[in-house]
Amino acid sequence: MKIAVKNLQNKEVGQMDLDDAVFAAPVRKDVLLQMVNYQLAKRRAGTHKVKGVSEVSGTGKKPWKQKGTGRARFGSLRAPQFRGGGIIFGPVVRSHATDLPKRVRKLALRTALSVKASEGKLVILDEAVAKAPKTKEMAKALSAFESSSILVIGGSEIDANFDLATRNLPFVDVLPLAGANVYDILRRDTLFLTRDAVTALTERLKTA
Amino acid sequence: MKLNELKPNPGAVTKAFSVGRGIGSGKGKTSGRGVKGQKARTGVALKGFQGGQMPLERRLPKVGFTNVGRIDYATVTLRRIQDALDAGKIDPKKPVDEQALLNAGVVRRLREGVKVIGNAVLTAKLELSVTHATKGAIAAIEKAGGKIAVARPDRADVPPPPKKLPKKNA
Repeated sequence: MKIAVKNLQNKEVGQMDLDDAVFAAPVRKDVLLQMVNYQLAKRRAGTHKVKGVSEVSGTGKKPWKQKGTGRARFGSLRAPQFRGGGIIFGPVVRSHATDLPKRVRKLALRTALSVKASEGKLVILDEAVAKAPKTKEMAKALSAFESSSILVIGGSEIDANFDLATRNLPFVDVLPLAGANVYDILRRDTLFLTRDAVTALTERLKTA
Repeated sequence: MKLNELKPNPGAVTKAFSVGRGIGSGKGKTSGRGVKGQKARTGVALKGFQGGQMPLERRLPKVGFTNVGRIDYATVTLRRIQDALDAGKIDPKKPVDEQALLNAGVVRRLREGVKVIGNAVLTAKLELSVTHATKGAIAAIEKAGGKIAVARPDRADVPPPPKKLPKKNA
């Protein structure tokens, strides 16, 4: 599959060949959903906690004797039916992460790239570099693409000026190559890949 | 495609069974558990109960024991070593120790040592060093011109512990 390579002003500067195995894979919505759920579950901090019967403060002494008082029988005043008592089956600090096989995760990234390519929402950039760290100029340049939201995946390192120039732009995300992930790709409307990113991702993803 | 358009394949998700929600649901009163009471709870193990008769596993006498001195060998046949030689996973020119067998995938884990068994015909001169080997395996290796060092020889080759003297006033 041939695709145009553009510069940051949306001018065509060349052509590039995309590997069909990576950029024209069949659309597996279910795999994308699994991957997104995996990512969102994995990033949860899991810092939620309530106190059970054994953890709430207070004595474990039997409040009054079993018989003869005319009152209901109780063994503890911190049992779950009491005000100030423990909570049954409440949230505890834990990891919410689930497992997903590496091959499925790879397949999901291939699928996400292919979805963007088939929808025409994939733009190949010559390079993601800015001359000066000026957000205003960057916003003007990116407006040429007429996209509501953008994710740029650059090479292994992001150009410092480009990073600074895009940092404060709403709906524009920039990730280095290692950060390429399904959730962020689907979250933004248009995906921008640099030449380097395409080569590296193809190398990484072409085999199952 | 947007995040809100993702969905599982049709038929991939089954709805959780809802129980205890009234007669009309068909799973109302006992929620599919058959009875009320102890047997309706989780963790009830009445399965081994044989109606009050002495259960079979208690009627039969106890047999055997667990040998605490048992050595947990990773057993490997000469045939598998030969297969690894044919596949080029073992270099016959170098001495072959237990780690080499592990690296070649002949044994999966070393456990308490490697024991070589079998009498398959070897095509190469091997210089093996393992924990234990059967007499047949040692013979087969030496017949092929190889050598084998056994760290823990056969029990028959080890002198038995001294016998206890019988008690005099028995």
